[in-house]
Amino acid sequence: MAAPAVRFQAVDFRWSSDSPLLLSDFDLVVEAASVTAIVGPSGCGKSTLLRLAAGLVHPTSGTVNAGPAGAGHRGYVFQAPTLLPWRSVAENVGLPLDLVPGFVPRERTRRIADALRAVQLEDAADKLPHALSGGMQMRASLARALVTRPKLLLLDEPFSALDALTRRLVHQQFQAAWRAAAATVLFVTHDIDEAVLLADRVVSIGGSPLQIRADLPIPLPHPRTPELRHDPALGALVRTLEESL
Amino acid sequence: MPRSHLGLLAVLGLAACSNGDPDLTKVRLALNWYPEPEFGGFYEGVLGGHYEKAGLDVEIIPGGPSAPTLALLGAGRAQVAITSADDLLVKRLQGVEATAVWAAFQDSPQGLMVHDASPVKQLSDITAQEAPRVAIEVGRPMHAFLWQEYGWEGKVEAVPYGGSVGVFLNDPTAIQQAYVTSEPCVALSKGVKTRYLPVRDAGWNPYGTVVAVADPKAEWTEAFVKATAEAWRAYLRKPGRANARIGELNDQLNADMLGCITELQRPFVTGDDGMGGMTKARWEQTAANLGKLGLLPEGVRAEGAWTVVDLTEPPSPPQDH
Amino acid sequence: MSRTVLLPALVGLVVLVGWQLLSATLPPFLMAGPLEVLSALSAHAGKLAHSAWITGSAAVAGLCIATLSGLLLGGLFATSRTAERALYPYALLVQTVPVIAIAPLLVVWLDYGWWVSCVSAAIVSFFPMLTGAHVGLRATDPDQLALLRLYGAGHRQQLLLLRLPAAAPHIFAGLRTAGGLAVIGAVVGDFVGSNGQPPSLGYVVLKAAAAADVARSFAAVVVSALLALALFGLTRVAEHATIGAWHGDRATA
Repeated sequence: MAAPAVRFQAVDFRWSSDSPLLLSDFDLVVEAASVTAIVGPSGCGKSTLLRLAAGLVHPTSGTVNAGPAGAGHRGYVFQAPTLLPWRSVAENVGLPLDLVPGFVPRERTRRIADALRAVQLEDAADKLPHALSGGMQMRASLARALVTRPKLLLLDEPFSALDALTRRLVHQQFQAAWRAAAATVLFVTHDIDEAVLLADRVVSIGGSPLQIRADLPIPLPHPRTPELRHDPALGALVRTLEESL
Repeated sequence: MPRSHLGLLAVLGLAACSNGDPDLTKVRLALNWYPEPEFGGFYEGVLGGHYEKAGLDVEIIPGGPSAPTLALLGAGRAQVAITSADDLLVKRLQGVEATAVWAAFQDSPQGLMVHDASPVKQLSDITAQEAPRVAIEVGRPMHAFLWQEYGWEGKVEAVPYGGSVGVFLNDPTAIQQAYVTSEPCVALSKGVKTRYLPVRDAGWNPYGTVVAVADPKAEWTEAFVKATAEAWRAYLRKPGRANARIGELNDQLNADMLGCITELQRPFVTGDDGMGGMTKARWEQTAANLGKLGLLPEGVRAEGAWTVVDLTEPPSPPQDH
Repeated sequence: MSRTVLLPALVGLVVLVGWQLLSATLPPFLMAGPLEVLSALSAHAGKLAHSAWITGSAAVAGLCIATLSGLLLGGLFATSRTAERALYPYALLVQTVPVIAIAPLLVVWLDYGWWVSCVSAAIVSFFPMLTGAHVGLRATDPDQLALLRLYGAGHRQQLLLLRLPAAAPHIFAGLRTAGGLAVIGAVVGDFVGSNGQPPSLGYVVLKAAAAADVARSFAAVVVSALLALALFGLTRVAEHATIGAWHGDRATA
């Protein structure tokens, strides 16, 4: 078995010395090349787990191992598209390549084109973010996360800002993109249905400090089409998770 | 940059090159107002070659309201500062090192003016008016002096004078501050005849357009004062050339105004003691007045603030011109 | 004729007529009507243009100084809380300095004329630029910042790629205010620091008024107003050219 993509080991975390302990002796292992969803109620601290995995914050004690430390090995998709308003879509997607050294212009152009193609935004390459719909902006955000061909893809409630119909479409597009990228995917959501629909494994957390309430493998077949919503097996899994929370 | 500016720069550059005679002592003279006939003698000094003959390359720097001439002198940015006697005494107290060596205006050119048809014939008539009101630079020495001298506190209203005669021109009962070299002629140019009430009649008579230097014993000072006296005599005889130059620099003054001012200021320039001269009696009177007003500590004397440079006795200014 | 031109033109016409009527009813020597001012403008056109160049260039130069120092200090405040707390009261003091009070000092240091007006313009337009830069540089989206840090961006890259562009709308907002103020500042500087060699706009306003040449004084005032409008327009053009594509009529987050 390949080395795990993310490993939380005895992690304690608090934001500052006078804030409460968010994580206490927390352990979690995420296997490589899998799609894992973390569900929990809003505001419980799910995003913090992602930030720890991304290396944006550091544990108060314990270790978080998320693969090689170099920039570009991890991609992050924020809840809001977080596109820079003064850059075109293509330039936004290429932003990581401006920051991580070692990309020659020709390679840069190729990578951006590949990333845009993966999310079907080739036609929007020269547009500015404000001209894009919410769904398109999220896809651009994903393309940006994929442009460095990361081994680990972290997504923080990436669909919560979208309306229900757009969400369904974007679910399919994201799935196709991250399958093609063959990366480990760890995403956070408060929507259990969504978690079960998209992931191979769902970990539900809650409480203060955060604890794992349930850890469920999702043996549903791929690809996960929208029709699966009506599959009773999905419903059963959702119910199990609901009971755990 | 427009072509005309380039041309101007070129001409100035050439002029500077050709005028920079290394043998002449450079003297920057800072005026305490806009270029006007009250400085006529100085301009004549430059234009008539009086200063050059005395070995001096004098450059006149015009000023305006609140021109800091003594500060410029103190900072070495000017070698001669034009000021008034009362201003000099007060500034010396604040630590400025300056000494008066010559006074162009024997009598102070300050005063009040009223319309020609006004019943006010002298300063003391003012309280007799109904609800008297005077437009004046509030807080300056002349204001404080007049109110104290005539007891106008509570009887005569002082309103701030903004520098424009517009209000005065429209109101036949108006009374306002005036410099003999300015406001009466401005009013006349707009068709309004005025009567001028000089403040010297009330006993406030500091010398005006006083020439002050940092070191009265410097070698060039004597030459400068001699040349200045000569130049002023020449100016009073024939003011045309200097006035033309002043008219160029100050295009608000046309030929009529220049003529009006030159005539009005003449008796104030020459005075009773002879042009340029200064007496101890007058200096001490000014110091005493400032003491009464609280602008100088009581009892401070004017010693050291002024000195008379030895000149051959100037003939009394000729009456024909 | 389009609405955007017709409506202000109509208002302008009403104002001009009202002004002419008002000046006709007032006693003479107090106010000049638009016709008088127009005639003074044409009579002294060359000189007024020269004066406008002097004062205008001082205003622009002062604005540049204010912008540079506002950006630098605003940047310092945005990065160091200590510096902000220590220096903010003094930055506040700068805008309360009455130029008239320090004018004699300025004249002694800088000589009569252009530099006094330039410094005066800088003083007056400094604070809006400081505020624009300070607020703008602090308004960085924390997620966007996290994004840059994720890819290893250092402070310099964060500044150039994120903080400065994000601050641009705030800075331009400050510039809009500062432009008009700079002209006012330059004219006030003219009042106190110009000896007429050469004659700046403020100098002409004062001198002409003292000589009861109201029409000329007003003409100089009109020219200053046009100057302020021009500078304002210039800042808008610069704003459009720089950030117009992504910031403007559409609502921003």
